[in-house]
Amino acid sequence: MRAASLAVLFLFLFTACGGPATEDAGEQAAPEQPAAESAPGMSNQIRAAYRSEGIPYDPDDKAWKEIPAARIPLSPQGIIPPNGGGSVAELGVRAAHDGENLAILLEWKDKNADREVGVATFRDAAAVGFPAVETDMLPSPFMGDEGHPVNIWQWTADFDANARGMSGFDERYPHTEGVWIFPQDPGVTRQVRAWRGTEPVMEFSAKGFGTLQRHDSQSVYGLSQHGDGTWRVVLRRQLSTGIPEDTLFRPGSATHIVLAVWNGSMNEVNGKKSLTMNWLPFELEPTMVAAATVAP
Amino acid sequence: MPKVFNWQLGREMDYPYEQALPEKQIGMVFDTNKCIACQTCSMACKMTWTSGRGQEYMFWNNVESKPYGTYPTAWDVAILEKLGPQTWEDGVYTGKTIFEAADGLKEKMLGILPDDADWAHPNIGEDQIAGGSVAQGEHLNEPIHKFWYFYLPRICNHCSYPACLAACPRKAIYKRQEDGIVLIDQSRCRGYRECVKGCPYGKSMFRPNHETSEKCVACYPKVEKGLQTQCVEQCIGKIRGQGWISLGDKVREDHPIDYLVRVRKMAFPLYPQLGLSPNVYYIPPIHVPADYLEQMFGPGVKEAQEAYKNAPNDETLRGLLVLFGSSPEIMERFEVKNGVARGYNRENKMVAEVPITEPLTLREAKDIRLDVYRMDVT
Repeated sequence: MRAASLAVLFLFLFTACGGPATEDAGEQAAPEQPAAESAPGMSNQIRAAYRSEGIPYDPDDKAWKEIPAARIPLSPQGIIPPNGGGSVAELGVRAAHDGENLAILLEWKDKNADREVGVATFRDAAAVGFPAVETDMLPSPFMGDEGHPVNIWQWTADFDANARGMSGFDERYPHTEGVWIFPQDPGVTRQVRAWRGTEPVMEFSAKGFGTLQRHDSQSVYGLSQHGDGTWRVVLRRQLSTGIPEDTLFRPGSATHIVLAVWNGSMNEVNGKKSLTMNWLPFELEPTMVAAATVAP
Repeated sequence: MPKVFNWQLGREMDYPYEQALPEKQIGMVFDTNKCIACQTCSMACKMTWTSGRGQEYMFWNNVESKPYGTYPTAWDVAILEKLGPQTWEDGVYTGKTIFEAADGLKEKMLGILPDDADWAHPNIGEDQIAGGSVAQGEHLNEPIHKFWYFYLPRICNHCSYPACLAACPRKAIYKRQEDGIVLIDQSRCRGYRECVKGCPYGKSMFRPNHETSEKCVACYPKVEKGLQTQCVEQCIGKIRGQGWISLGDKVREDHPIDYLVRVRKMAFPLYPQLGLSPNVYYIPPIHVPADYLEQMFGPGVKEAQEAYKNAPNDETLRGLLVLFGSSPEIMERFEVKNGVARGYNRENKMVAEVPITEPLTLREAKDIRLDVYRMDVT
């Protein structure tokens, strides 16, 4: 209840402060979008650009430069314990779709790439959330609420490292000769790995803090790069997966997005995160937008 | 925060969840006077549960020397220091528990997350004496124990108010209704380590290659069959007794654990002031200064030491103590009659019958039949 009323409050504040325009206004403003390219960083409007030639997936793909970046301010989580976070103040977001697939590029400053999970060390991570189903009322921006589930995609640097065979586990905890390992153990570990999959991104449903539930079928892919003190992470999914728990994206219409980032070396994990305090409009350009722009 | 009643503190206390006591609560008594730190319990547990990659450092059961031994390093002194000096008055705890001392917003309880190095020295402080320096002298030249140490075997306490459970933001930790065993649901755990930080006893441990936390499971597959846990069954010093502890007002005099803990008040929870209502109970060592032990076990230690010293004149107590380690089955009832102690399982079937004093047979020094001298005549 408290989360829901906060959501309303934040929504009000956001609109009052001249935040993102409404859906309709956004669509009308579509042709002006290219102008924003020259000045990325000025917008806090997230809009998935339509690219008929296909979406960029690699974070290094030059095509990302043609898409304007929204700069989204993040705040520390201070609602329920354990609270914390706040070490990442801003997140750059670019998005593109090609009518079939959606890709979202997240960029944020983080000096260290924390890829390793040790006994008392934590990994970097980032997540996006969308209302899982369209309802009259938006879910709580804090991972949803009962009756209003949120579809969450979380990228984690350790899964990313595992996927690339870069896991630091053996280096940090070298196997000691003579330590007896029970014969079934590799099988158990394989089972655990199989359960969590090979992708660096996991897809979840949530109905509020602490309710993260992994989807049985995973449909989000991820690629990442860390360099110049910046993480650049691309999340990719089909617009429509046919799975009821997955958010359905339609070109030319809008949904909402929430964002969160964890900085491992600041011991950020779980509720200790930097996040958006409210839903932000997330728009997908219509598939024919390029043609429409050219026509007049 | 809801209020729950903690009988060990003699008062109500704050706990993040409402009171929900299980139907039965697993309870154990460890007699520290008999522990020799042979680590058979540690090995029995390790071979059974933690012999996997990523679990190398884990000892769900460990035995540390007190006062200087700690695993993970400084677990108890660190949390006591964080909590600060607290008070008891007439058997009632008037200080703050780790739940009450936390600010509530940033964390639900005081806690410490041990580092890699903290898990790396399970034998730190082993056999180090307290009480002064021997300096090549002092060999029993005083009638009382000036120098001392003792062994403290430790497992998860399967607390009535577990901090690990309260700390978990995902409700991945639960306390079983049927036996009070506290477990981490591996399919819900996301490896946030809030439980590792939250458990003041350092008994929740993170497995990095599975990215989940693990802890003592009280050998629940055995307990379900009425059998004692590995660490209890394998204890060669026979220092451990396992059964159920009555948490309400009704106490069973013929139950081994109830008798020692609730009736005789000879066995004490470990650091009850932390507020978790732990369910492993220790018979305090009789040679250790009571003021040290009172910090560790709460008030009443001196009386318990006296009662233990009086065991030679106390047939029921002696009988019960010889029943420890005399059966692989959990004894739910005991009786001591005419110098014989008997233990009964959950079906009320006798599973142990032990004479308090073993019958002594003396044999001739020479075996005439074989024409040899015997090395052992008893």
